[in-house]
Amino acid sequence: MNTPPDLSLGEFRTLVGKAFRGAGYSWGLTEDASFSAKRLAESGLPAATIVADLLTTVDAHDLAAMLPADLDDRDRSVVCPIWVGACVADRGVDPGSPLSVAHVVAPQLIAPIAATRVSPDDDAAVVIEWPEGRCEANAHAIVLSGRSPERPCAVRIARSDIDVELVSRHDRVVLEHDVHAVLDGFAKRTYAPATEASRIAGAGPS
Amino acid sequence: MRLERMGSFHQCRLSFMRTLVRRMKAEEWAFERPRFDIDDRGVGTALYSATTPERTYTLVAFAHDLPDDMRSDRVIATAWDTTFTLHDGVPTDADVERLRANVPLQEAGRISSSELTLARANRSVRLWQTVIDELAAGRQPDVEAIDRVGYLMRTTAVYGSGKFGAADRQAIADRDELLAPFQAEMLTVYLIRTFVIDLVEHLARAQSESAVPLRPALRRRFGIGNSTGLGMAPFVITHPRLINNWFEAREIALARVRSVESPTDDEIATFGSYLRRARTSVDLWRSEHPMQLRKLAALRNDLDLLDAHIATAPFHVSRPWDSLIDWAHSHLSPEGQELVVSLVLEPYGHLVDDLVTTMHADESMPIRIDGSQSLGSVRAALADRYDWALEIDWDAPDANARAWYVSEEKLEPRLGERHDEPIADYEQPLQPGRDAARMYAALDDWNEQETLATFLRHHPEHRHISRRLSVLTDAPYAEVRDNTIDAEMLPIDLLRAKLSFFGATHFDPRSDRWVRINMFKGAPFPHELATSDPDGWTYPELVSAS
Repeated sequence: MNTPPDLSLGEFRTLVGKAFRGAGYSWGLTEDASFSAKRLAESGLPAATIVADLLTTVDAHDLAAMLPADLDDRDRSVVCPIWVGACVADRGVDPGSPLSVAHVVAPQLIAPIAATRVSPDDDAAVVIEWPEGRCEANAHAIVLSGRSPERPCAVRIARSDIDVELVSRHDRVVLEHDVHAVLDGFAKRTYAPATEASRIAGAGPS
Repeated sequence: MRLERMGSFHQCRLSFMRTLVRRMKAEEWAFERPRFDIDDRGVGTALYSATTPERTYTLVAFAHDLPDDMRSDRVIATAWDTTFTLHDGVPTDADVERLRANVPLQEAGRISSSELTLARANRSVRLWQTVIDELAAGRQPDVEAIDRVGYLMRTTAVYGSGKFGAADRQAIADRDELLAPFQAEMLTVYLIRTFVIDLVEHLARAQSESAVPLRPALRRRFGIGNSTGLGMAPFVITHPRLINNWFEAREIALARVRSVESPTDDEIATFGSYLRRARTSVDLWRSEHPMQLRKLAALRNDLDLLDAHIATAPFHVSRPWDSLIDWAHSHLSPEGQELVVSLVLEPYGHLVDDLVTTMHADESMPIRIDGSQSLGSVRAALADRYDWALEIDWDAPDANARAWYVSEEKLEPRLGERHDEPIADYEQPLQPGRDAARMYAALDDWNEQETLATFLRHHPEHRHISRRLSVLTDAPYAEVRDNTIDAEMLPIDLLRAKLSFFGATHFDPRSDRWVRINMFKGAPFPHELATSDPDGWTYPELVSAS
C-alpha cells in the first residue's frame, strides 16, 4: 500500500485511534490518545513518530503492566503517557502541588490530555518536564522544547500561570513510509478478517 | 430517543437541504457552468460554481463510460458513472487535472485541503436511457415513470469532513454558510442534480438534432437518489453531542410551536396547505419492502384520520398545536405522529429557523470526565440516564446477539451475529446501553465515597462510557435509548433518523440495513431560486406536466 502523501487531521486522528485500539488500549483511552496525537500534530510536532515509537514499546511490553493503579506507583518499568494524561485530566493538578510520575515514555502525549483541565479562558497551562525537555500546553496550543526522552524517565507535571501561544497551526500530517507502516499495522488489528458469509450477513445482500 | 421513533422521522424546516436552499435564495448565490466538456457518449468534465457573498465553491464533475456490469451501489464498487468533488474556490486547470487523476478512483485516490467533499453517482437503470430516448424523440418522458423512480442518478457516497484528504470540518466550520451540519455535502448533491439534468439533455441532443429539453415542471420531479448502507449508522452513536443538538433543536422548535396560544388564519392555512402537499408526497412514496409497505399503509390511514380531525376545526382552542400533537400521539402511528411534528413547524419559520445555528457541535476536543464525582453520584447518574439499559438482561442471547465491527475487506462498519461469527474481539463501541450496564455492575464492588478518577485508574475499560455519561449531563438527546445490538434491532432506523435531518424523502428500505432515498426532489434549480419558495418544494403540489 502506498503511503498517502499527507493526511487531514481527521484522517490522522482516526488512524491513530485505530492504532491505539489495535495495540490493546480500551476505547476510552483510545479517545484520549487520538486527540492527543492530533493536537500535537496540529502544533507541528512529530506526533506520528512519537505514537509509532510508543506503540512499538507497548507491543514489547504488557500494556496492563504499563497502567499502574496510582500515579505514585514506582514499581513499573514503563508507564503509559496516555494513562498518565487521563489521570491528570480526571483529577486535575493543583497549583503549587506538582505531580511526579516515574518511568514514563513519550511524555509529550501527556500534555494535550492534561491540558483539557485548563479552561480556554484561563491564562494558565500545564507544564510537563522531563530531563531532556519540556512541554507547555493549554486549551489552544502546545509548545515543545528540548528533546524526546530516549528511555522511560521521571516526569514532573505542574500547573503554571503562563500563556502558551501557537506560532502556526498545521492542518496536514505528512507521514514517513515506515511510520505509516507501523501505525497501519496496528490499525489493521482492529479489522475482522473478511469472509463472503460475513459480507452478506454484515452489510446485507445486494 | 427510541429507535422506532427515529425510524419514523421525516424531513422538516430544520433539515439541512432546506437550510441550504433558504440560504442560497436569501443570499442570492450566483451559479455558473464555466465548463461542460462532455462528449456524445457522456464522457468528460464539467464545472459548476456557486458563489456566495464571500466565496466560490465549484463542483468538479467527471462523467465516465461505465459498462453496465460494473454498476454497483455497494461500497465495494470500484467504478461509477460519475464522480465528483466540491472544490473550495475556482479550480485552475492544474487543479482539474490533479482531480482527474484522483476523483474517479474515489477511496483509492486522494484529494486535498482545497476540496470539501468526494462523491459518486450511478445512473438509474430503470430511467436513464428511457428519458434520453424520449427527449431525443422530441417527447417528454412519462410522468408516472419518473415518479416511480424519482431520480436519474443516485449517489452511493458523499464524503466530507477530512475524508480521503479533504479539508477538515474544523478548517471550514467558521464560515457562516457551512456552520450548519453537512452544508458542503448538501451543496455537492444540489449541484450534482443540476449536472445530471444537463447531462441527460446533452445526451438526448447528441442522439438527435430534434431532441427537446425537459419541461421545467418535469425537471423538478427529479431529485438525486441515494443509496445508504450500514456505513452511516454508527455516526448516530459516535457523535453524541452533535446528534443531541439536532434532536434538541427539533424538540425546542416543537415546544415553541406548541406554545403558540392562538395561531393566525394564515398560519392555519399554511398548515393545511402543507398537509395536502404531504399527502401528495406520500402518494409518490414507493417501496417494495414489506415493513415499509406496512408503515406507508398506516401513514395513509393516519392522513385520513388527520384530515377528519382537522375538519372538526380544532384550532379554536388555546394552544391548538399542543392539542394536535397530543391527539396525534393517541391516534396515529409513529410515522403519522412524526409527520405531524414536521407539519406543525411549517408555518413558523420565524419561530424556529434560527435554531439551525444551534445544530452544529465542536467535536475537536474530547469530552471531559469530572473525576471528582463520587461513585455514589455516578451510580445514581447511570441509573437515571441509562435506566432503560439496566432493565435489559444482557446475558440473554437475543439482547447481546449482534456486534458492530469493521471488516478488513473495505474498512466499513458491519453488523454481525456475535454467537455465530468470530467477531466479538473486533467489536466497536456502539452499544452504550450494554456498556453502561457493565459499568453499573462493576461499581458494586466499590465504595460510593470513592471518586470516579480513582475508579477509572483501576478500570480504564469504563472510561468510554464514563465519557458518554458526562455528555448526558447537559445533552439529554445524546443517546439512542435502545439496545443497538439486539437480535431484532433494525439499523435502518438509525439511517432514517440521520437522513431525515439531511432532508431526505421517500425512504425505500432494501433490507433491514440499507435504504434508498431521494434528495432535493422538487427543489428549485439554481436559475429558479430567485422566483421560488425556498421551502414549499419539500411537499410538492401535484404540478401539471403538460
